[in-house]
Amino acid sequence: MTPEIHTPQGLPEVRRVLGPGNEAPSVAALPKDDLLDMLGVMIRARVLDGRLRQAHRQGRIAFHLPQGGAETVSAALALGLADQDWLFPGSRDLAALLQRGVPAEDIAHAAYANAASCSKGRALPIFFSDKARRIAPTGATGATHLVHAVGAAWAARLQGLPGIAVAAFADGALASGELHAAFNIASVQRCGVVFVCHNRTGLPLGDLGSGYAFPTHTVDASDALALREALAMAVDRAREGRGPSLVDAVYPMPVTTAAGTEPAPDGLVRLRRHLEGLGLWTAARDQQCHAEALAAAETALAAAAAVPAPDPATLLTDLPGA
Amino acid sequence: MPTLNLLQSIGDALDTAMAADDRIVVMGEDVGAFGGVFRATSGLHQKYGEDRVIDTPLTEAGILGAAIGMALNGLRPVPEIQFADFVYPAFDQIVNELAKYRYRSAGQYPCPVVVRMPFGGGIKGGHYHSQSPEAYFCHTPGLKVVVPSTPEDAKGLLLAALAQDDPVIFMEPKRMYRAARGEVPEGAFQVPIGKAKVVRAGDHATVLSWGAMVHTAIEAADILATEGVTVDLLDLRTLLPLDLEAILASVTKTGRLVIVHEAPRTGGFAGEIAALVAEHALTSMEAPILRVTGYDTPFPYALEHHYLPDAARIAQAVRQTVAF
Repeated sequence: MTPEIHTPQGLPEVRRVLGPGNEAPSVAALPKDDLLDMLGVMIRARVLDGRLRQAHRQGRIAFHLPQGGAETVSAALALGLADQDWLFPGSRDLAALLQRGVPAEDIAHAAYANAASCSKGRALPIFFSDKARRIAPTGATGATHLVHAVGAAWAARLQGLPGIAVAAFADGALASGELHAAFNIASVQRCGVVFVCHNRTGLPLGDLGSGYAFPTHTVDASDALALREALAMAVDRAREGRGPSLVDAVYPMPVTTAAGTEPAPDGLVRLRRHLEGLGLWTAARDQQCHAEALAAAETALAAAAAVPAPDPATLLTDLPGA
Repeated sequence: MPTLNLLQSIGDALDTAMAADDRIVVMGEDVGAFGGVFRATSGLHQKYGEDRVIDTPLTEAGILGAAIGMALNGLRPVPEIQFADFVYPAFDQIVNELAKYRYRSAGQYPCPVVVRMPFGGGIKGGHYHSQSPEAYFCHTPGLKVVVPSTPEDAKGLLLAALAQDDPVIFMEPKRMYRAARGEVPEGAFQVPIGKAKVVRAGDHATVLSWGAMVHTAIEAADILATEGVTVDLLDLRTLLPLDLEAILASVTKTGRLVIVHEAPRTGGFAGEIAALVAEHALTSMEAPILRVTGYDTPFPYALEHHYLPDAARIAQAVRQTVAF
C-alpha cells in the first residue's frame, strides 16, 4: 500500500536577489566592499578545501570533510558578526572560519592534528575551536552545538553583555531532538541566536520557525546577496533582543532534462559574475586572487606539515586535576 | 552552629555561593518560584530573581546543552536534573560535550558546570525516580563525581564543586534529604573534593560506601559491634577522583573489604574499587573482596526494600569476610 503523503499547501517562496543573469535589481544600495571581501573569502576557502582534499587523498592528513560548495552560505553567516559575537559553525564551514579571521595556518594545523593545532591534535579538524575569536567547536551528532549557541547567547542577555550567536547546521540535524530543544529554549528565553541551515534537501523547510514563534528566512543558497540580506535581518533581530531567527539556505539542485544534466548553480560563480557585471571584478583580479589563495594554502600546509605531532605527555593534560 | 537537614544544607550552599559570585545561576525544571520538586532551591528565586534562578523547559539535553553554552560565555551554571533517572536524555551532552570541552579545545574552554541530581531509591519512586547512575559518569574522563551523605559534607562539597573550573556531577542521596540532620557551619567553607572520610574506625574489615548507603552501613556497623566485630567504615564522598590512598590505608590495616552500593552489581563502581585494591594491595588481603549491591535488575517499585542493600545484608557480608 502506498502511504498517503501530506503535501503542504504552498511552501514558502525561496527569496532571491540575484536574477538569472546574476544581476541585482538595485545595485546602488548594496555594500560592494562586503561582497568583494566575501568573494575573496569564498575563493580562499575553496582553494584551501581543494588542497586539503588533495592532502587527504595523498595520505598526508587523516581526515578532511570536503566543503561541497558550502562557501557561499558559510561566508555569509559569519559576515555580520562583531568581535563579541559567537560562532558555532557546522561541519562544512571552512569559509565561516576564514571570514571570522582564522588564519589558513590554524586550519592547516588542525587538519594535520599537530602540536600547534587548536585541540593539541585531539579533535577532528571539523571540530575547530578558537576562543580568541569566539568560535566554539561543533558537535558530531548534528545539533548538539545548537543548544550551546543558545546558552552562549542566553548568558550574554543574563549578564547584560553585547553579543549574539550564529549557529550553522546541516539538514541532517533536523531529525535531532536537540534542534527542537535549541529552537524552543531560544524562543522562550528570547536568546539572540541565528540558526542557519545548510539545506541540501532540495525543498524549503517550510515556515519551521513559526512553530517556535520566530521568523524563517527561506533563501537561495547560491545567492550571496539574498543570504546577506537574510542574515542581516536575523542578526539585527538578535542584536535588538527580539529573539532567534532561522535562515533556511536552500541549495539549488542539479536539473536533469532531455538534453542532459545541468549542474546546480554555484554561489561562488554567481557572485563573481555579479561583481564582474558591476565592473568590480575582472579576470585578472580573479586570477590574482586564486594565485594568492593557492600560495597561502601551500604556505599554510607546508607550515603545518613541519610541526611535529603532539607530545605524548599532552595526552594527560587539560583534564580535571591535571 | 545551626542544625540542618541535607536538603536545607544544599539550599544553604547555593545561597552562600550565589551571594558571593554573580556568575552562579541555578537552572532546571521547577527550580524557580516553586523551589524545586524537593524544595532544594526554595527561596532562591525570590532572593536572586528569575535571571539567576531559572525555570527551564522540560528537556534535559536542552538544559545541559544550554548550561554548557552559558559556561562558555562567562557564567557558572548549576543545572538541576530533577531525578538522576531523567539524566539519560542529557547523557550525550554530559559525556560527549561537558566532559570533553576543555580537553578537545586544548584548555581553551573549561566548562564550570555543576550538575545536581537527586539519586537513589527507598522513596517508593519506582524505576524512574530511584536509580543510581554514578558508574556511567565515573567511566567518563573529564568529570568529577561527588556524592555527599551528610548535611555538612553536602554543603562543604557543593561549595567546593562550585569553586571548580571543571564539570562536577553532584549526586544527592534523596532518601536522606530530610532523614539526615546535623550541624552545618554557617557561611562559606569547603570540604575537599577527592577525600574520603572515616565514619567508624575498626580493625576486622573495611566497609566502603557512598550516599544513602553510608547510613545503612552505619546500621550494619552497629549490629556488628554487638558481636565484637569492628569495621573501618569509609564514606568515599567523591568517586572521581577517588581517594585511593585512604582506601589502601584501611585495607592494608584490616585485610578485608566489603564495598556497598545501591546500583546494580555488574559494571558498578565497586568493581573498579575492587580492581584497584587488587592491583595495589593484593598481598595485604586476607579474604576475597565482597560486594553488597543492588541486583542486576531494573529498579523495582513494590519490592524496592528487597532490592536495596540493608544492614542485615551488609553485616552478613562482613561476617563472611571475617570468617574466611
